[in-house]
Amino acid sequence: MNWSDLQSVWSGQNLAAGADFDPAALQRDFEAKRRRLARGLFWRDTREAAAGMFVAGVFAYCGWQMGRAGWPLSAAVALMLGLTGFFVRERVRAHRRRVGADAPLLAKLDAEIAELHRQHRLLLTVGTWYLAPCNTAAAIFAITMEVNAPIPLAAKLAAGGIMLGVLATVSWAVWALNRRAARRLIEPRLNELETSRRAFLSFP
Amino acid sequence: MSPSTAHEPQFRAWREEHRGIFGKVARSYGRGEHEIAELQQEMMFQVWLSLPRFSGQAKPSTWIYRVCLNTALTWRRGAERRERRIEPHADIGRLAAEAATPAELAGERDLLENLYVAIHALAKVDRALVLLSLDGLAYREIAEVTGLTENHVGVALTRARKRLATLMKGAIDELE
Repeated sequence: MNWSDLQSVWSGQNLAAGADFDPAALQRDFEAKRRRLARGLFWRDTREAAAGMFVAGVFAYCGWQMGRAGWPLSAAVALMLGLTGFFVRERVRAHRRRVGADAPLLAKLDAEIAELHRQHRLLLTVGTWYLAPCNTAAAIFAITMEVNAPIPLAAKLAAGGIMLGVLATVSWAVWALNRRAARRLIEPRLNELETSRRAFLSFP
Repeated sequence: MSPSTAHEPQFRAWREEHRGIFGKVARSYGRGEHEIAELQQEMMFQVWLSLPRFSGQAKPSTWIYRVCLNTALTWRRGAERRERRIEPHADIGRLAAEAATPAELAGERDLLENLYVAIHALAKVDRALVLLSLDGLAYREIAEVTGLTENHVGVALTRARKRLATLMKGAIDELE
């Protein structure tokens, strides 16, 4: 038996593929999926942007209420707005780089790998692009408020200590969760796709 | 761009004309009835979704192969089930062609069964190349689907066939 015989057996398969597959149902399914996906993305983006905008608004309001003493809060506002801008930019970039299912296999693999590398990098560097600006803004806010608050120094130090503790705990949790997601979700998938790509391009 | 009802006749026609592609790719990448059906649905969904982007530059069968293999290669649903042992006898019974005699039918069924088991044992990308070659696509068309050069397709396909021959040792003599 040779390759031609094998091809002959292969082409003689009696495959009843998707006999119950209905384009109308597919259309409904597609529309439902598309709407669900669009709604999910919209609310996620809105939530992320709104959270940044809200915190920036709170900082701005506090700064405005404090008058001239509140000027350092403008830096905190700028940091939060910058973070919101970063989220939006990343979302737009990911959307533009998306490759359709009808792309050549290699191009699709490359795009998937690039996207996973991007996500992996974002998860591992969350301390730089997310925690650092957030914590800096929170620290500026806390210090400005405490410096101008009419309370004893001991109370200011205690409040500062509590704030530091909360920030450190939350930051550690965010950092650890992101690292875990990178390790458990992204890396195995990335390895699988990179192995496929290497196998595709390797010559014996 | 989303597919509209105007794409429906084309989709229906292609689905009927190229139903073998959906079936063969699904059976080569999925394991067990449920997973195969799920993968097949996903491939059809992706073909439907991509239909408005079909420019007519490639043959419909080549384009459908591209979408199906992309979907199969990057498909994640049921990943846990894929890790299970191969079940060589699962849902292969219906695969044989309508052979002239029961003996021929049994022989072809056994061969197909062995072939699917061997295909499943190949690396995912080798599986893609073997599928395309078994369906008689030319190197140029395989290159179009995969994004490789024709020379590279030739080399990679020779390697994949050798692996397939090793896996099917005894069932076939040579695959050159």
